[in-house]
Amino acid sequence: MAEETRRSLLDRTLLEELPGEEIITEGARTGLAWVGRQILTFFEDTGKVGILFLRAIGATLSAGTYRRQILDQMSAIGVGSMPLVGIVALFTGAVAAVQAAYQLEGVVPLRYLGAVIERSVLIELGPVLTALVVGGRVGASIAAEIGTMRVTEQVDALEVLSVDPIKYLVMPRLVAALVMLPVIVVFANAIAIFGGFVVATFSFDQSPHTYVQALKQFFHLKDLTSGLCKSGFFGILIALMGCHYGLASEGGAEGVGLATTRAVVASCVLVLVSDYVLANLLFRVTF
Amino acid sequence: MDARDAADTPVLSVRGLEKSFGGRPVLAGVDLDVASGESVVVIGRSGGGKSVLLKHLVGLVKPDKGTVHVLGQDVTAWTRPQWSGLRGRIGMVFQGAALFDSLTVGENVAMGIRVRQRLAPAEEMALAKQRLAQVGLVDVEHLKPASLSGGMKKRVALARAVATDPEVLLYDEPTTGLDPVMADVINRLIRSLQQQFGLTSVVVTHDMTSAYFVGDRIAYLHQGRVHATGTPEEIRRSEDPIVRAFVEGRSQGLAVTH
Repeated sequence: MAEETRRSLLDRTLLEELPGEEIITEGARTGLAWVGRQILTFFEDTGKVGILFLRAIGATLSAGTYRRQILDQMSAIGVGSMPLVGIVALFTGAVAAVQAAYQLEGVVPLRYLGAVIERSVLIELGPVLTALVVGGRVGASIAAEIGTMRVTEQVDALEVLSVDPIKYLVMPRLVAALVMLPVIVVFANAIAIFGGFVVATFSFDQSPHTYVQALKQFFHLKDLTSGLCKSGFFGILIALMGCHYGLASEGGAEGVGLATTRAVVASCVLVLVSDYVLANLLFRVTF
Repeated sequence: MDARDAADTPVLSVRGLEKSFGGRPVLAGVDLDVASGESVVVIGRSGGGKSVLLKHLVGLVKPDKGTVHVLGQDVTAWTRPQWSGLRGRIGMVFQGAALFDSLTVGENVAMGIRVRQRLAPAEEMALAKQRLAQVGLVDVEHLKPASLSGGMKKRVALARAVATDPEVLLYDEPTTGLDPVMADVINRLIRSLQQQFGLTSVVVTHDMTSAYFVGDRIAYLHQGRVHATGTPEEIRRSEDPIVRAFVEGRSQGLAVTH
């Protein structure tokens, strides 16, 4: 019965040219249009980010001229992020120690605690958590600063003064993030392993010697280097998202706020997604 | 091309300029010529496309249709590298002054000089101070823009725009948001810069006092086109009901759509 109704409706549509609106409801129509717009926006944004990135690479030829901007950004992105990253890393290491001890209980001797913390911090926790923290802090501040410059016509003023905003604003932030993220991660790794050490010694009554022995025995240089490679990549992503959404912002305070949110969301999502891709590349393809 | 032809060629020339944003036409066929050394004031309602027209003259906005000639060159389809050569000859004063708030006042003024001329930092700063003195500002070069008043910001923007000795100066609402006395200071500065250096200028404003004072010629932009042009005196005496309504500031008789 239902099949017949459907058929007859189809026939009527084809034969009598029943207006399409009666079958596709208004709601579905707007829904489809929304999906279509989102897909288009996605590809448009991807293209724009790609072009921005290529232009920033080209702009590195002028890195000498803009060295002061690069140094300023290195200080803002690197040194400025250290206190927050330090706290996050300390507790990450501490929590890792507690959780690892709980999970290893009865399976692996507790004297390997240092090794578990070390490897999980170097490979994963250090680079990714640092990138998420820096993504929130630095991604937001880049987007807000460039976004404000955009809506107050400062970016236009740069253009009129023959200063390429890509060279003056985008390239220094990208270079600074690429260089400084691995540096921050080295500190974060050390602090996190120290956090684990504190918990291991004071909470699990492990001797410092045992903890350090495990660290030494299971240290692989590749763990460290692959983590640092990832963090350099994350640095570029964070700065690129901040710059892209900042430059694309329009319409005053509301637009800048929106750009900031988008930059943070995009950099955090991209960090996690690319982490998966990089993990495969670094640990399954390359080695 | 002999000297006379060169003198006759307008410094700025816009033909049939059309531009829409998000499907809404803002400019719908603007024709405008500005001769060398001339000061043209573009008046019109807020949101009427005056600033958009100005931005076409310095390549910040690309036209949908029509042509733009600047300093004898067809810049209609120019890209950024092509513009960088010409931009040293054009200065622009932005509506909100658009000072770089991370830099000091001195660094703001020196920014254009740094790109154009290779000078020692001390010479750069000396030149910047000289430009600031020209707009009546002394001992401000170490301040950050945030600590300046609106009138001072506008004057710093003016100093920054003239720092590279441009031939053309574009002003986007130079007196908006200023008290009448400061507006008069700015108007006199604009006038004196024109007379001192023979600058060609385009001033976008909806302040009629300013328009009458700084303009050799006034163009009234209405519904995306140049509706009327004339000397300040001609505009003041215009019989055209639309022009009259604007210069007298009446909303009756005009379709208020935005």
